[in-house]
Amino acid sequence: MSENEHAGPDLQTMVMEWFKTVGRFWGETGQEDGSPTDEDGQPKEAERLSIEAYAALMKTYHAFSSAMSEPSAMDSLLRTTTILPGITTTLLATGMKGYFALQQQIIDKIGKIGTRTDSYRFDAIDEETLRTWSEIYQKEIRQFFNIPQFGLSRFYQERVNQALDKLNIFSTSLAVFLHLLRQPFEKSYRMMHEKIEELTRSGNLPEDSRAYYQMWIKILEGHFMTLFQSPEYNKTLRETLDALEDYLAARGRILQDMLQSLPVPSRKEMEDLCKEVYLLKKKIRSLEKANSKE
Amino acid sequence: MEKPKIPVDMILKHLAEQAEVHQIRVQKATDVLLSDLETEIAATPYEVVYEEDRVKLKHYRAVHGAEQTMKTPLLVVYALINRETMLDLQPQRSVVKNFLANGINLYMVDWGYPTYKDKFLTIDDHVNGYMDDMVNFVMEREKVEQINLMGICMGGTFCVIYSALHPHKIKNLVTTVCPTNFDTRQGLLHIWMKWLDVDKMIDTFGNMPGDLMNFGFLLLNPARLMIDKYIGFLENMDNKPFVENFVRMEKWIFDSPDVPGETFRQFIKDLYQKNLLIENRLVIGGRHVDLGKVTMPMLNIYAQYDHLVPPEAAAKITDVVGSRDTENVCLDTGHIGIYVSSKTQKEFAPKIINWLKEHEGRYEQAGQDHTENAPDRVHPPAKNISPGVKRSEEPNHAGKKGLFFNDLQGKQGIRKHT
Repeated sequence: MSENEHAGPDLQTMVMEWFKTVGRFWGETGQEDGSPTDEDGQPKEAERLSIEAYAALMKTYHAFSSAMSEPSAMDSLLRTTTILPGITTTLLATGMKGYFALQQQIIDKIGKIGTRTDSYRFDAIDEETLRTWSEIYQKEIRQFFNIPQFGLSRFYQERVNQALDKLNIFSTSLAVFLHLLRQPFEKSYRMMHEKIEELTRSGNLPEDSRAYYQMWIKILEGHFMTLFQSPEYNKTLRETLDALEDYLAARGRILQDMLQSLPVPSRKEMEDLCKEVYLLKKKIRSLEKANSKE
Repeated sequence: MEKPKIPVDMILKHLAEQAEVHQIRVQKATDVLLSDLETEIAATPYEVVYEEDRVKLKHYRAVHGAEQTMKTPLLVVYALINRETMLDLQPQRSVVKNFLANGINLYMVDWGYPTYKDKFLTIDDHVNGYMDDMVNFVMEREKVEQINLMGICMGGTFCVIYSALHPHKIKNLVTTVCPTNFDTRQGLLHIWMKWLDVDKMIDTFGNMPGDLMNFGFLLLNPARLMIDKYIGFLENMDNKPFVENFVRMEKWIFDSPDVPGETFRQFIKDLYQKNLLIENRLVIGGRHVDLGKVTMPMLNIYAQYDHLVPPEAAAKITDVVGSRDTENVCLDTGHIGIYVSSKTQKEFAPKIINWLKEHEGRYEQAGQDHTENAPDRVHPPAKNISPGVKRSEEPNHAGKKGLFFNDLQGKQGIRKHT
């Protein structure tokens, strides 16, 4: 017995036989007339329609099966089954490659965070740290909040991202600002130490603790005044105010989104209404004045 | 025996004494803080005689027994920042009581608490709207053709603008700690306002929040306003009158209405940033605010240690107004102390009262026409003004400084700088 005989009929023959059988079966099924009839022997309308639709479906299926049983179609089908695993593997590989590339990109970016800020070093802790963090955030982290959003909820998601971004910027600015405000305290303590040392050497140390407090508050006031007039303080104050305003505006936009679903007017609607009332009142006043003059 | 370099024994002795004092103070303070404290502010009786939107006009009842010696009523216009209750903070230190006791017929503007709907109100609405309506009301009620006008801080700026736009309605003008020259770096406020992005701020907030402004004011001197002040309280908290006055002041200082957005925007841009008023270039409600038309007698009081309106921001106005009868008075105190400190109680209110009394009826006798349409304004001869007023022979500053007062150039001015 040859090897082929042992293997039985080949796949192509088996499939062709299957399609032929199926075609014959559906062809006969479609032609069978077992339609229900009404009292007059006429088929019921609703049932008639469904039977017709069924018959049409059977015919289509029969045609499809017949076509598929042709040798050329069978060749094509069998080729497809051969190449399908290849296609799937390619698609999967591409997807995974893209995914891993994205992962790698993100990891690389996170790894690079801080490398752009070479000019600052963490050994100068305190203010430099805050400024460095601020710069890192602005240049490296912030972009993730600006990734474009898609779909029906994209605008809402974008506004949430924006608010988170602005909150982060405001928090950072506020931290820098508060740090600046802390500086006069540190400096005044240092100066007090020096002053006490000096007074100790000269033997003029005050006996009353209130005198030390008065000395300190005066030094502190002086340091605050110097700080407040510095360009750095003014810049930081301006940035903090800007960041606060940006955050409040972004938060306001989210609130607007939330309010849309509630039966309350939005800020924009109220603003328009207030302006209208204001202009109307103004007009009435000027008319009243003109009228009283007449 | 040589004096020790560190008198440890004395320092320790003082510390021990102070600890004892503090302990007694805390015990007494508990009693004080738990007792009935009289912390009411603005207790002088008044009647609301006019109301328009959020704005009210108060008329104070004459003090029993005090003769109303002045025919011309005085309208006091407070700033839009904080409240006019400051003039009547404590019974013993009340400018209002002082005025009433000296026969002044007193009206005062209460700007109220602006809400979101007021955000569109401009300086024009406040000056040519509310203020003008109230001035007209007082004139009609009192059956007079002119009133005396007194402005406080930002309210003073409003009064200067009003007097320039409606000079015929104002007999005498008093400005106190009033910012008019914004081109100065004397006060931190002036430095900060120069770079403030007011458009963004108002677009975000609508109205300028009072609490945010208060925070800004505290930041002007945190050592004194956020530390020393409360240390002072701790040291005196067993003293009932001190505690009562402290609470009154706290009540006033943190009672901060918001400022209508558009008014704040205009005030910062046109005044703080462009300094248009003193440069005689300000336009309000489409009308040029010509300081040359401020021809009525003017008393300008400011404070030497004012950190909000430093002398440089307040003093210059008398040089540029059209009036020949101007007087600058600088008091040895701060922005708030001018109204509430016990020291200035003896100087501030009496100065205004005496000045107003001196000027009551003066120009009527001299036959001067103060109306804005008067073609030839006749300035009274110096000898008729006041025996106490110093006569200056300097040429008018307006011409010297290249301002726009063509009609005033070369005139003789009577200016007193105290």
